[in-house]
Amino acid sequence: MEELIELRNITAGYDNNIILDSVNMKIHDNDFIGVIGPNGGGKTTLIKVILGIIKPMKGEIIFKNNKTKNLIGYLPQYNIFDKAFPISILEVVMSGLMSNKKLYQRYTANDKALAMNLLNIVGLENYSNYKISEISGGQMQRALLCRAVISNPKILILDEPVTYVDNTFEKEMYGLLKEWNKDMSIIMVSHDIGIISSHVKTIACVNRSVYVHKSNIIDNETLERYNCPIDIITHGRVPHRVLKNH
Amino acid sequence: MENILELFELDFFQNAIFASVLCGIICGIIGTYIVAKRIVFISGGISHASFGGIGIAYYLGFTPMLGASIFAILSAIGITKFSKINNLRQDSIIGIFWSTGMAIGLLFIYISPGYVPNLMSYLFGNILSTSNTQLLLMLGLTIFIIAFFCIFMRPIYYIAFDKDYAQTNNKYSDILNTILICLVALSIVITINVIGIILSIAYLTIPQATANLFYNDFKKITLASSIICPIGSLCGLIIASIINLPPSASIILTFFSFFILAYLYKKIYTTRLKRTKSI
Repeated sequence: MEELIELRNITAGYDNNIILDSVNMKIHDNDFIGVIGPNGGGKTTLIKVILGIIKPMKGEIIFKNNKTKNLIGYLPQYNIFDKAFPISILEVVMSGLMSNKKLYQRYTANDKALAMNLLNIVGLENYSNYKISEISGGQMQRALLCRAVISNPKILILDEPVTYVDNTFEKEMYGLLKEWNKDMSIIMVSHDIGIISSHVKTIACVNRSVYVHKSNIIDNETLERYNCPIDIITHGRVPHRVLKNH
Repeated sequence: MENILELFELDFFQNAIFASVLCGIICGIIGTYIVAKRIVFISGGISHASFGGIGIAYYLGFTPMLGASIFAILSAIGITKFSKINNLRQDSIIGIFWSTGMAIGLLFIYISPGYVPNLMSYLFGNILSTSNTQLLLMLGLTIFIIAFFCIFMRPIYYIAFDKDYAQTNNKYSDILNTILICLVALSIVITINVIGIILSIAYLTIPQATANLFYNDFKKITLASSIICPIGSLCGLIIASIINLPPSASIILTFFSFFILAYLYKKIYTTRLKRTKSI
């Protein structure tokens, strides 16, 4: 497995408030990492450090393959958008191609076909000309997912991707992620450890520090050992691979 | 009527006409960015803060508009930088820049020896005293802004929509963002000359809101308001000179009537459309 990104001794936060302390982490080709942790534990901060939105106070991020820096697709938490902004779904999706283009370059017919193809996959083909004020939260989330993958990134980062989508699309989305995971490494933040662990390969517990658990099965004792106090709601014999039977 | 035609032959009035049109084009374009990005209040702060530069320029004896430009750019960058600091709220920062800038301006004009400039012309504009140099600077800025927006429309659009994403996606988005903020500041300085510090927001919001009634696409709104804004601006100036009104007030009221007429037209048109559909 090829190593893509290494976080070496990263300390990050806002002003004097340290959110992440001396974090070491490696991201490889075809990883599927579920990022879990309590509120305020630093899940989003970790993602923003990897994306370069927040500069770390200490430590360094090493991009092993020089091209990787421009090859991250990102799905932010939906609620940060201005819903009244005058932009269409198609434009939102195509904006994901910005890293592949020169600043002054226009879109080609090919770019548009690529975007339409993705919209087709997520069931939004009839909405391409709708403005973002005219669609629902779940539809917006699908469009943003398309934006994240249109540049065919090496790493796909998803921050709470299922918050607004319905159950049907949630299932479809995990199917898509599994498919895409063959070509790209995926990092997914979720507060729902039950759902996350039935799809991911490894689990990263984030609470000021980061522990990467090399499996998708985790139990309360391990979480405690990782200093990652979150409740595992699902117990017993359920079709999740969350907990060992007890 | 003859008097009006005579007016057009006067140099100062010709300058005023060019100024109103150029200012209209500049603000039509930059205003769309300001409205879409919801930084109207920031623009108000920049406009008022630049009064500090005017005061200092008077005290030290250089061109007031240069002082205003420096203060406008510094406060624009200052407001954006300080807003990123977590425990500082953006609207409070704007309030600080807004009032402190005005206070600095007032203080320096007060301690300047000799002739006290007419403050009213900075607060409410004085388009009829536009000089040839000012006109040339406005022309330069107009050409630069049109070229900049034509070439970089796509990234500008995305920076306005989602700056964080643009930043993760393109290493130049930070530079573009800074250039945009500086262009906003310079455009505001231009409006100070035309309609004054207190009224400058009108140029940057009313024509854009009018365009927004008919279009819901950033590019179309930009184009439409860069047409509506100079037309309204020119009409306002001509009406003011016909019935002898302060040009600033007349320009803003023209913008406002455009908006109201457009709103009513749209309302009647859509109800009629609905009625025909229901029949």
